Amino acid sequence: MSLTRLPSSFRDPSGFLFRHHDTLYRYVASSYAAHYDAVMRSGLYDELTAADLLIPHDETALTEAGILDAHRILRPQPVSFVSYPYEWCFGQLKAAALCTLEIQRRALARGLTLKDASACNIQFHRGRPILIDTLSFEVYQEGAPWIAYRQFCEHFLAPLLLMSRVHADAGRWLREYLDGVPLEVAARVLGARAALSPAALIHVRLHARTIRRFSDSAKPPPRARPVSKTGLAALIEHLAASIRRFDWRPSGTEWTEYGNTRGYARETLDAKRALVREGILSAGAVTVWDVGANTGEFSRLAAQAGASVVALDADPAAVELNYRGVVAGGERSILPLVIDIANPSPALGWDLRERMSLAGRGPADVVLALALVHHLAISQNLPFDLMAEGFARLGRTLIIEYVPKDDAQARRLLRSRPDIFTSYDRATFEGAFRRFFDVTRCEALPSSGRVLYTMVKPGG
Amino acid sequence: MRVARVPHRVTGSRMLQILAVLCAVSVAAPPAAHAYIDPLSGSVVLQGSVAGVLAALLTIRHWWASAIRLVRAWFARAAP
Repeated sequence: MSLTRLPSSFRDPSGFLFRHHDTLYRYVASSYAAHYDAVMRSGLYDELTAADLLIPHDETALTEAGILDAHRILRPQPVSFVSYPYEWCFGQLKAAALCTLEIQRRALARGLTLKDASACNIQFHRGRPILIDTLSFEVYQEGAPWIAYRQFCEHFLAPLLLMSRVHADAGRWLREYLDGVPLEVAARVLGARAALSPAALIHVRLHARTIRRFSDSAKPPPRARPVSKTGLAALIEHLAASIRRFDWRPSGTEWTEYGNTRGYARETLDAKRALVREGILSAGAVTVWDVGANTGEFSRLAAQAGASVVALDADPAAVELNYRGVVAGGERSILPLVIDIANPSPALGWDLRERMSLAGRGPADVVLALALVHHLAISQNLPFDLMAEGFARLGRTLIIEYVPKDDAQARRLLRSRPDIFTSYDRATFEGAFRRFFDVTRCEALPSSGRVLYTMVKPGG
Repeated sequence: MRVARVPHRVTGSRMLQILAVLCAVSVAAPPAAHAYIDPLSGSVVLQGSVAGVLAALLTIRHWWASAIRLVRAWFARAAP
């Protein structure tokens, strides 16, 4: 039979994900049968799916996928866009951490425990964090420690501490440390700041020290005291209470005071909104990537037009504000992510196939690039032909705003640098993009020199 | 192919260079071979030590909260 095992799904012997006729399935190995059956029979599956904490699945007939040695073949509900922890803002990582701890708390109450606390097992689905790995549980044994405690601290606690106490950009470290920020590294970077937080002292600094002390595998393993269920519940509660208190105020960064609307006259903005909306509707877009989304004004417009939107921005503060808006408004169709389009997420991990690149998760039906061209051309020195080629890889339809060099915002970028951008003009812009796209609409925005283009890739 | 050996004396400054490199290597070298470290034992030992303490603290906090509630309720009843 033709099944394609997902290259990211190889670490857990309990099962793996595969595609068969374009449908995603999860193989549950016979060796995992007792644990899977316990999850289903204990009522944990029903409880977690009802609370939107675990992705629901259907059990399929084994013959459907043609695998005979599996205990079960599951068909999980698909998530619309796979994102990674290094693309999440502080609030998203915090919500994912609390989701993991809540699941562990409920699992313990039903005689199960999480054997895996990888941040990658959480995805944002309809605006909320949700566990996608149904095989993360095992039957709890009285006296056993939480086997995923270290993983939780490295994937969630340490990055959250670094983001809230050192710099919000520290979340990007998870792109380098796919297995979580090593506690030793986090303890060194936090330094004296760790002394101000019991969570940092116990779960990061002391944890790192104890790991180092017992790290010599040539020595006999230490005899550890059993951990009572009450103790385990207290550990989970302490982690959750500490993380609930973590805070980061997105202020004073580049974009938070900016807003999407600065530099526009009312009529310019109205015309831009109408044109973007028409472009999305006429493309019949199911997926929209709003590149340089800022706090998500146009992402919301795209969502109102019925699309599922990924709102990308390089600034963690803008993404944080966007995410808080998503939470406050209960918005289910917008996923804000910290992604710098000038340096987007690459393919990572073993054989560069464990984590997908941004382009590898596309193409989107529509890519929005509004008020972005001047940043890429001037701040990044990106020539228009490379810009066009890059956008052609991301989506089928491109709605892009040309910002002339004499625009007030473009002039701001040129204030402290020599104007070496002799090819920055509309004719060069159009010529470069026409090599990759057919321009279907081109409208000047009133009361400004800006022009809004709708372009479609040939055959797209 | 024969390679002519160039005799050279180990001068004092060269000795110092070698010593400096050896010192740098010994400081930079990790205490255990990275590929063979035991990643879990320390985490398990810490939980054994910390979980009980946290449970005790949590229990004390619950008792304390209950005691405060009782005292408040008593004063509320006693007040005219």
